Amino acid sequence: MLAAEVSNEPLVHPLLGHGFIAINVDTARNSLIVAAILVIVGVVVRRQSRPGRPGGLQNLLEYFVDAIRGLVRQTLGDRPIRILPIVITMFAFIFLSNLIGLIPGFKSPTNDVNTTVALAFFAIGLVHVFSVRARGPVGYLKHYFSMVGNPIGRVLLGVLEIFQEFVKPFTLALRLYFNIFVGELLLAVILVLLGIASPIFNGLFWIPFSVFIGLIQAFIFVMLTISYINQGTDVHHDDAEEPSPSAAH
Amino acid sequence: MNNNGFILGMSAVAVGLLIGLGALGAGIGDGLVSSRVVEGTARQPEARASLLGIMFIAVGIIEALPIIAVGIALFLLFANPLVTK
Repeated sequence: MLAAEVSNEPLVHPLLGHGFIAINVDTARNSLIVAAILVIVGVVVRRQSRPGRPGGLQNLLEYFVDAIRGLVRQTLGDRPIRILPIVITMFAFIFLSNLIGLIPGFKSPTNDVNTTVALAFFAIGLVHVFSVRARGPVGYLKHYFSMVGNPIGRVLLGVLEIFQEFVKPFTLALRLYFNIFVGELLLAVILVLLGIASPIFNGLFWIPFSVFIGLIQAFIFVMLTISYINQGTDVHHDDAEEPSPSAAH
Repeated sequence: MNNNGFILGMSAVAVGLLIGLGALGAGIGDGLVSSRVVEGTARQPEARASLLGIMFIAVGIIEALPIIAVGIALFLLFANPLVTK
């Protein structure tokens, strides 16, 4: 196999503009298409919804909503954090973005590192907003340095904790990006390797597997966001760690 | 003078190492997760469904690392940034 024979379509994004403010045209277009599909599906299902007697599509959507609601309840308990709508939106957007790349002629918006980094920054920003809201600004800064009793260990662990806060969005973004990117590039590689037999292999094995990976990755993204929010707002945990004379009970 | 041939050769070696070592580590990790799930299912067959869900999430997180390695390897193979045009 020659490397030059493989279509570099999944790799290259047509650009509009130069340098830092360049717009990846296909990513922007496909993101808008995904958003439009989501809005249309939402409006149609809302109009046709029959409480108590759900039809096909409504059943499917209610299954996803129930699964994510169960996850949020299970992780956050009864903390007063309204996160369910935004988390469901993120899940739907990522899942549909992963799927749309499997249609010939489309590329996943998540096949662009800019999209996934933006999503990850948004998710981690949410974590910090809820953390400040739950602990207050001073408590937010203090909780980085409240891991152990020993003062030197506190500073060292605090620096590590802050470093970890910077690493989180990148692992979140790269995990999603490379899973989808490799999936789409391997579609092109299989096309060259197997030639005329490639539609059979792709259709029977690789595309169903990619759908599965897309579902799992969307779910993992959302689940990690929720569990980061859980860590960020775990006020009770701080109280247990900090030895204060007033909290003797 | 350019030494594109040398860079491409070393890139091919790097691609082999990236994919091979990534698959090795992920294989060990997947094996550990799956063996524990099998143990748990054998001990408590009624917990099978929830264990399977947790297993898929754990395996998905583990599999992300070799996928990242494969992604970088494919970048080196198909769009090598080190080669001078």
